Amino acid sequence: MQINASMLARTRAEEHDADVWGEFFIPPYFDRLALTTATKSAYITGKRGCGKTMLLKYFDYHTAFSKRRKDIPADAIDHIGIYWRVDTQFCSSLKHRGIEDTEWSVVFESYFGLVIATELLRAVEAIANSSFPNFNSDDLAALTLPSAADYLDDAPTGVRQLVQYLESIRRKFTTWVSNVKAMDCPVLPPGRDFILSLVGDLRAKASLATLSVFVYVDEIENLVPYQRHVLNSFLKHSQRPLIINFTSKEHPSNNDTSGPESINATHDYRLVDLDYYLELSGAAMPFFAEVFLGNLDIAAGRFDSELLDVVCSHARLAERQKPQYQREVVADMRTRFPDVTDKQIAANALQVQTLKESLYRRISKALKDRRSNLAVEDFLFEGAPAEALVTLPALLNRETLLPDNVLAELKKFSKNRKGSFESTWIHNNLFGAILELYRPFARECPLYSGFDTLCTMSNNNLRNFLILCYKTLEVAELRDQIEPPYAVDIQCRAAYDASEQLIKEIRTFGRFGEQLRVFVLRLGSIFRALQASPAMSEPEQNQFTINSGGRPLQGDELAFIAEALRHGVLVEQLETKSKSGVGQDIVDYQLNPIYAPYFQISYRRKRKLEISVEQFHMLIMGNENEYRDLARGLARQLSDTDALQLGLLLS
Amino acid sequence: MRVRFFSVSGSSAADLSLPDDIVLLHGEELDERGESACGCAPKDARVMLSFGVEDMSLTVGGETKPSDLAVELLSGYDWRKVFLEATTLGFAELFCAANALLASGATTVNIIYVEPGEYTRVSKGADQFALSEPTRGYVAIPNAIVDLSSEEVEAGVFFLGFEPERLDRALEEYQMITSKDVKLVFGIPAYHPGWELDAIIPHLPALEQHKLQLDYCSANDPEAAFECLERTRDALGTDRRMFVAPIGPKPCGIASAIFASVYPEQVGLLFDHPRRKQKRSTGVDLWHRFTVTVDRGDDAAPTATAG
Repeated sequence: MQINASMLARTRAEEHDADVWGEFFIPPYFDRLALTTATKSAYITGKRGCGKTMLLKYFDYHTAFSKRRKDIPADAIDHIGIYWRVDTQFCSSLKHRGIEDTEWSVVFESYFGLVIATELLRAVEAIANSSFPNFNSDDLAALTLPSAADYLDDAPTGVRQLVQYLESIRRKFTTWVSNVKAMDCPVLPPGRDFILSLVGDLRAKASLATLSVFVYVDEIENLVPYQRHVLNSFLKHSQRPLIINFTSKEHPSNNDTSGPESINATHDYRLVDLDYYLELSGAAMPFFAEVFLGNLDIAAGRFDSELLDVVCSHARLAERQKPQYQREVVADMRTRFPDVTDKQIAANALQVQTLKESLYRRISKALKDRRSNLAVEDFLFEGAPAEALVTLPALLNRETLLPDNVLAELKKFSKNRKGSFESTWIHNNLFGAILELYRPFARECPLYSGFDTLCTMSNNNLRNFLILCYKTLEVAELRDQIEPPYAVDIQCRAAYDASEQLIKEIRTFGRFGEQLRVFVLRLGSIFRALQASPAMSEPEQNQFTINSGGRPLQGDELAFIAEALRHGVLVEQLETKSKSGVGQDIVDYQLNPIYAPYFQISYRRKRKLEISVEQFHMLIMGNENEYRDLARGLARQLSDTDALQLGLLLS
Repeated sequence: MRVRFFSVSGSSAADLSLPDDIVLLHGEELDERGESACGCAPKDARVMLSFGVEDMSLTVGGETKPSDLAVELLSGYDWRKVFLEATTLGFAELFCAANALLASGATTVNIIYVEPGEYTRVSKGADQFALSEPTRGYVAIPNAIVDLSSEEVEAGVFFLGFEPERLDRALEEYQMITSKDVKLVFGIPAYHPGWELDAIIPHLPALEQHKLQLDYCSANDPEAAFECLERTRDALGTDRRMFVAPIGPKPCGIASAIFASVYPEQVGLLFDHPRRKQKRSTGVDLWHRFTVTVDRGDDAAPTATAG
């Protein structure tokens, strides 16, 4: 199959043009959004990589009135979407500089008016040039907008001329913002009223009588407070024909308006949490499969494929919700990205000389450490099940278990599949034991394979899922095994590469980026060290909870957690069982499972590490020595040699 | 308008033929070369500049005002005597000072820059460098503010150095950049053979991921960087603007500061204000004195001419 690899590198909506008609895959929760028929504002939240920007581009007028869209219904103008991604460094410059916030507030309102009015007129041009039935280029040429001159002297009345006029004002405005002390501010239109007047002019035309403007302001959380307040006021007073919506990576935090009121989710806006909607749909797996397969078709130039038609057509959403269809699409992916059972991985591992020797050596060492008279050979009898053998180093290192008993249990299990191995030992320890077995051979542990695993590691995040898949294709090409199914070792290497790339990306996550990256490296290393402890009494730790300490969490620590959650570095989870058994833990934080392959730790949500406030502080803000002391203390069962190898001790 | 660059290089301050009545505008002395560079002027002839990222203010000596008023802050200094010590000045301070001098009628801007012997790495033998502390991120600099969300900004130039996260963060936070005509410029030849790889290799992932053009200019030659910027400016459409992100070698920052000062209608700056680390370099290598002359006297096409 010939594919255009650069097409597949586009895992970000920003790499796509403003018009994404035919490239947007309708998500399973689409009907639930009901944005085009809304009568009040929406506050749309979604983590990075959830498909938020692509969704907003789909609702934006460039796509809704795309030249590529063949049949545009007459009611399409009931929702003219304007997606406005603000330039936060520009907006931040509308502050200080010897000018009071109250003055800046007026300026910002006008800036908003200028930007949205220009976009609205461009939208009208796009409508005229599209297949929209009741408004063509002649209508556009005949259209007059007399209201603009009420606000701006000499404003022309024609749409095209007015666009140019407003663009010219915007240029003057930007120049003034750059040089506020050296020149006078140009005359600017008022914000909301100006837009509403233009809408009024447009609605005077019969075919545009129901026109409504829906503005989607992205990155709302990064605006300075007074700008939030201005936009919150606009949101509070939103109704057709002008509705202001917000989009953000996080849930609303600043609800003040520029007046005495505040906004709230019951009266003023509808909270649309895209991550939650996807989870609720229960269709994340088939949807992820469709997006990958659809992108493969696009990259191969099969633009008229049946799959693309199904996935890009709103009208066909119901077809995709049928269980039979979903089973097929998931089965296709499972064939392409096969997995291996844990039991089979154990059996395969014992066929590899280096792994086998490593396992025997560790069993032997455990027996010696326990001063047992048994020898490793005693455990290697004919028919000893591999999935049990692999767990032996951990079991034999546990003080609570006598080696003779473990051997007896092994024999029992081997004979009739009964006993402790059957009831708990394999279930609790095999996954961790495999990770530990492969750890010295970094990067290619077969546990990180299979479509279902890719979905779990992606943690409902579409971008992370696609990166895992595309990395697999890359590795497959490098190894000259282009055609699916992709071998498990290829998938595992790709998972490591994807994980490594995404850890590097953390640096770019806002002002705490580098701190977050260091935190992930520290936390992951601690989990790896805990897993490497010989007895592995707490296998698969990849969560932590802060449930002790001499003081509550402080402002900077809470801000750090908020930032880690906002960027999806940590995943907040309802509490899992705590060791103390007392339900005093507030919340568990899981290290995003996409980072698991890099540290060779478990991506499954299993056990947590309980730490104190002070230890957490050390983890996020301590220097290297303090961190190493902390890590060494937490992983105290490790030998110095292992601690050295895992970077917890300095050589 | 004609912008010309003259340069003198040598192994010490003595080789730069600095006048006796010099007024040195400088920044923090973080390392050996910074201390040496500031040492070229007597203590009472030195004036410290610093840009306040939180409120876009400028402090000159002990006086702080909005940086929009940089001209007022520097009005007491005779541009004929002023030298900008670019080794220690951050980029924002360098731009504020150069822009204010030129706005007050200066026809010449004198700049000193000292190359390091070696930049400090995260650890011995590591690939990464320890040059900057984490920062608040990209913050506008008055007199060169640009609205990236506007279509009128159609092109951009990044001068790149050893810290790929600075480009990555710009592309992450200002995703509208990818829809523009963006050029990445590496300093080649670098200060020393081999250093160019330290710049290029860490940026490879970004190059793979985004559709960005590449260009090169000598790392220690502001004139070459200026010409590189001119090539982008020449290609701009009518009433269009460009941005410059000087997140690489300081000589490219010098060119960017002058460029944004002489073309305020067309050029804005995108800058992330790193807090530069103490001991970010070791040793002292080449000394440079750059003299930039700006002749607004005729309407000749703007050109950069070698001195």
